[in-house]
Amino acid sequence: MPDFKSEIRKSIAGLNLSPADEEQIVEELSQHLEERCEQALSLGASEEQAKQIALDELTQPDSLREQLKRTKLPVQRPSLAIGVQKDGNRFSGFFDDLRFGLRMLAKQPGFAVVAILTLGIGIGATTAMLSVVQDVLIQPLPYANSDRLYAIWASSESTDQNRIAASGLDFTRFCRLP
Amino acid sequence: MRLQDRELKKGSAELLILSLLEDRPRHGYEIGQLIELRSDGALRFNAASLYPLLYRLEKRAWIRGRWVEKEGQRRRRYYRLTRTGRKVLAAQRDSWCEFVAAIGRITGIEYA
Repeated sequence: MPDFKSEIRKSIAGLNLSPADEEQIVEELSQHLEERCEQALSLGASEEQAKQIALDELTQPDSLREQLKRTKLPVQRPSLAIGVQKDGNRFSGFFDDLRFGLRMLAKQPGFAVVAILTLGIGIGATTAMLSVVQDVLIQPLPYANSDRLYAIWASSESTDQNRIAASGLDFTRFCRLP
Repeated sequence: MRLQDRELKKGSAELLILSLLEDRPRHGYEIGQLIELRSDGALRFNAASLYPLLYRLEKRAWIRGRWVEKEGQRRRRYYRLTRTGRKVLAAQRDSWCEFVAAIGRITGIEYA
């Protein structure tokens, strides 16, 4: 297939198009010319004739250059690589990235299910663990002067036991000790 | 029959394109082919006329172009009619009917 892109670039050179506009016009028109060329070949034209028939589309009877000169182009959204910022704004590509991500997930539903389950279980487990840490270690106890609370244990020399749970009676007795 | 009157063709070009996009989105090459096919070769738009016209209609927000990628095919730019475009199409159809009727009354041409 002949290279129509360079011919199209030549015919629109000097029109001061933005790179994004130029790129899209070249891509769209080169596809058109390629299909025109294929059609001519299928109808029995030689390669040279088919190429000429396709190239005539750029000049006969109107020239692309003249037509584009009179045309205000719509705002073209340039093709972007993933993660590239459009206008320097940190979040400008957010919705593009989001749309791209959703499209990729829709293309591979099996992967999407595994990814979503992994994230769900991971987030759930982390949240549960942090809730326990928050209540047990970080939040103060719901009593006044909770930093002055003490635990009292008893020990027995006769049985050689330490840390025997002390009762309220034990506590009263301990208080009376000199 | 090939219409030689380029002005007449230009005047109807917008209506033709909007009509072809009424049912479903189409790409530029398909639009060009349909115009030629349905007019039995009487009307033909080359790429140099067709695409700038599509861009003009898009600039007016009557149609909207969008690149579509399909598996196993090259990506193509499909144009679809916008809500504004649909209103313009209805208005242009009415104007065209009135115009044809007026010409008919003057010239005595009758359509089957």
